[in-house]
Amino acid sequence: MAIITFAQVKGGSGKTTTAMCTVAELVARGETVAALDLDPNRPLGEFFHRVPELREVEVAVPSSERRVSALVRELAQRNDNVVIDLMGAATNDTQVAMALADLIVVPSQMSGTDLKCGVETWRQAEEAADISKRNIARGVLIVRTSAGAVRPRVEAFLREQYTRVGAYVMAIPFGDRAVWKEMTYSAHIPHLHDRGSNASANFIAVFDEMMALMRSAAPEASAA
Amino acid sequence: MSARPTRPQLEAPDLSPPTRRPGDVPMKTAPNDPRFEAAEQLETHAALLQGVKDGRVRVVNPDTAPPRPESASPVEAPRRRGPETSLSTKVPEYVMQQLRRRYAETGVTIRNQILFALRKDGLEIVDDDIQDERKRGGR
Repeated sequence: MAIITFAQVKGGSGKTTTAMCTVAELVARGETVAALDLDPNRPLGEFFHRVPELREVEVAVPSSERRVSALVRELAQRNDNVVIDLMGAATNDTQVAMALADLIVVPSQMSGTDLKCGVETWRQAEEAADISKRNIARGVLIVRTSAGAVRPRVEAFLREQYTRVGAYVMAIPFGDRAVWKEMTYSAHIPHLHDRGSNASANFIAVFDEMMALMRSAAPEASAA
Repeated sequence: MSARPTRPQLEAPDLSPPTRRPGDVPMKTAPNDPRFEAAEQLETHAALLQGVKDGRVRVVNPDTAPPRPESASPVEAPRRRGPETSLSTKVPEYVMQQLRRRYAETGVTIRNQILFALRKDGLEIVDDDIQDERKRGGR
């Protein structure tokens, strides 16, 4: 079971792309997955509808009668996994979606604004873990960094800054490649349609790290 | 001329069907899992107001905003500590646009947004004075 929340109070940080990719990877691994789209632009449903393998993925959107916790409760009864994509702002949904999660991923690009908002999101995640009285796995995912082997100086700087405030930064960054930008136009998802590609290998490594992070925070692992 | 850095060898990923280890068997999250109760605490009107006050909530999602609790009897308007005086000033248009947008999103009036900001900056402003005149029933 996994409820995975993608949170970052800054917009345009890569939440939706990472959420789309996560849903696709779960489908590629034969898992059942539903999504909750809290972005008012509703990008998930439209995108999944265009990808034959993802057309059946249930995408829920909130309403005044069906709010976040009620929706997630319903989705989690029908699916092994629920992926929540938040709006890119500090909203009334942010901590609700975090408090429900088994894993919170905070995507962060490398600008100062991303860092500042990423730290704020991280602190909200810590509060959400306290409120829900659970050890919620969480990590900052550096996105849109150089896809090559050479790491830009600013990436190391960013890792230092997050570490300085006690945030855990995932080891594998999500590299910047044209294929991710083209994905919503082409409906071609590397790890679903071309698993041998470099882009696919990168996201699979990110996904594996997310799963490992979640396993390490699971009650059995914490007790061990 | 410096040599171009060599790129790492490409290795074929493991394409064998995924196998699940015993501990990895997915189990659905039970509807009575305590996390749902914890999350519901955050979906109340009081939690929203606290979030706005603490600065944790800066935008209210109209789709999920908790409804105001209906009070059985009219709520007594808080007493202001002192009389009010008018203040007129000019601000850059883009600031005004942001204030208006935030009002549309959160329902916090421009007057109160300014008072909240001033209080955050250290000015003494008591809660009872941060009230919208329009909600005082024409007093």
